Order: sequence, then C-alpha cells, then structure tokens
Amino acid sequence: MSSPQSSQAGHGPDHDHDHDHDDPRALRAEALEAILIERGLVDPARIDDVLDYFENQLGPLHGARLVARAWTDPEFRDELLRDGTTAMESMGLGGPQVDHLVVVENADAVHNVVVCTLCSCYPWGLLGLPPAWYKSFAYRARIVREPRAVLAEMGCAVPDDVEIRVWDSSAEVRYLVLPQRPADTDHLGADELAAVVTRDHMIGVMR
Amino acid sequence: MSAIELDVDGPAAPPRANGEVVFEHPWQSRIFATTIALCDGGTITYDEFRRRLIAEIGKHPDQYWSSWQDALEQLLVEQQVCDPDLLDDRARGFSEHPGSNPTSHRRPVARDLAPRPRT
Repeated sequence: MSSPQSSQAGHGPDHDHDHDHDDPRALRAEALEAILIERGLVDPARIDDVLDYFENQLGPLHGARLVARAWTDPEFRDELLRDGTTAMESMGLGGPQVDHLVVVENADAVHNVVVCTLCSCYPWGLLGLPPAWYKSFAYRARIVREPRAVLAEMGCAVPDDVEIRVWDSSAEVRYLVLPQRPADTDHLGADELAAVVTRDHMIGVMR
Repeated sequence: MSAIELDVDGPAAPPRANGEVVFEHPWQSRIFATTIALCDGGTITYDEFRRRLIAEIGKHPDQYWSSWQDALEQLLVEQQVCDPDLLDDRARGFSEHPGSNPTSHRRPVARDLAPRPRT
C-alpha cells in the first residue's frame, strides 16, 4: 500500500514536510469524519476495520501465502491441488468471491493462465482487486484464441515447447495458478517466498 | 467484509496496483473507509454515491480521490446529514488549532506493517 507516509522532518515551526494538517482536503476529511462520528453515523473502529481490510488484507497477500506454503510443504501442495477450497480454508483464507477454488500448477512443460470469458469472475479474497485489463474485451477474447501471443504482448514469453492451458473462471469456480518456485530460493522461508509472488503470477500472465 | 463491490474498470474504479487500492495520502484512505462504513451502516447507498463520483471524475479526470471527497460531501449535504457551513467551520478550527480533533490522536503518523502471522 502506498498510504503509510514516512516523515523525517522535525516539528519545528519551519517544518515543510507534506503534513496532513497543512492540506485543506485533509482538514475537510477530518472535519467530516469528526462530525459523522459525533452524530453516531459512523463508528471510528469500523473505519479502522475497513482500512485494515483494504490496506492489509485485500490484495494478493492471501494468494501469495497459499503459494508459498505449497512451495514449502509438499503435503499441503498435494492437498491444494486436490481440493483447493478445503486447503484454502484450512489456512483461514477465503473471503469475497472464493467459494470454490481450483488451483492449477505450472511445470517446466505447462503454463496456466486464468480468464473470465463471460465477465470478470476473480478471486478477490485471494488476489485483491482485479486489474482493469482483466475485464477488457481484448483480454477475455484473445487469451482464449491466441494465448501465446497475448502473453508475449504482456511481457510473458512462454517458450514454444511449453503447453499453455487457459482456464475460464465462472460464478461456480475460481482458478488460481500455482507458479513454479523460482530457482535459488532454497534458503527462503514461507514469508519471504510469499513476498516474491505477485498477482500476475497467480493469474498466469507472468511465469 | 463489506457488501460493496468496487468498480474495477471505468471512471469509478479506484487507482490500484498489484490488487491493492492505491492512496497517496492518509486522508484519501480515511475518506474512502468512511464512505464504505457509511454505506455498510445504511446512511448512504453505494449506488447513489457512485453516480456522484462518476460525475465529479468527469469534471476532474486526474483527481480521483478529490472527486471522491467532493462526491461524498455533496451527497451528505443533499441528504441533510451534514451542513456545509459546519464542515467549513470545523475544518477551519482544525487548521487553526492542530490537535483539536480528538480522532486525529488515534492515528499514527507513519506505519511499517509487521508481517502477518502464519496460520
């Protein structure tokens, strides 16, 4: 998230850092929030909860934790591939729009990529908000017809000897790609591994 | 967490990166969360808010969060939840007396998020 701000400046009278109390919009936002709280229309704890959700929980972190666990725990990997929903729930994960999860695994000779050809079905609870291109007609139509070309255009060159499988997410099933563990990461723990997994890996537009 | 489904494309879609909503300043995230909390609490509906947001963004396409704030203020004024003069007075008060807002003391000036515990 980009919201946390760092501030090195002191608090002398000449401080010139970008502080909220100098910004008319920040002051108005504070004023509105204070009035709404006074009138009992919003609960400050609820605002904090919403923020925590959007800043810390909604995003690709949950999906990345699933991937990192699968990379470090072979039994969990097998379970994740066999029954993604149960494996996900065993980690306390899930959330919006992930009722039934199917995880598909990349290999040396296989690359998986996910689309929703009908609309924009997407596992929000694992990956956060979908990118704008995911819903675009061009992606939805072309990734099915010419996946290798589309992936190359998106900066993901898949070698000709690697099979590409395209999965169509729907209201019933949400797919997640389990990417291959990068080389030279044997020394990394699950938390560090999770940090290298991006949304694009788990949609399959990055290999 | 919330019944609201944010737009993922079109003018009302918030700026985002790698699946996360992107804020440039803390006030933007506060006004965003306040809006969601008001929708969840039933004070406003997301649809009503969204219509005004799209209209504001139409006027200022490069100022997403300012448009968001203006749209929320408009809606609350129209619904007589909030009086514009009161809002002006309060903002002026906070400007002249930093620290007079009791809620601002609840907010850290910076955050470095700890890694989430593994389950």
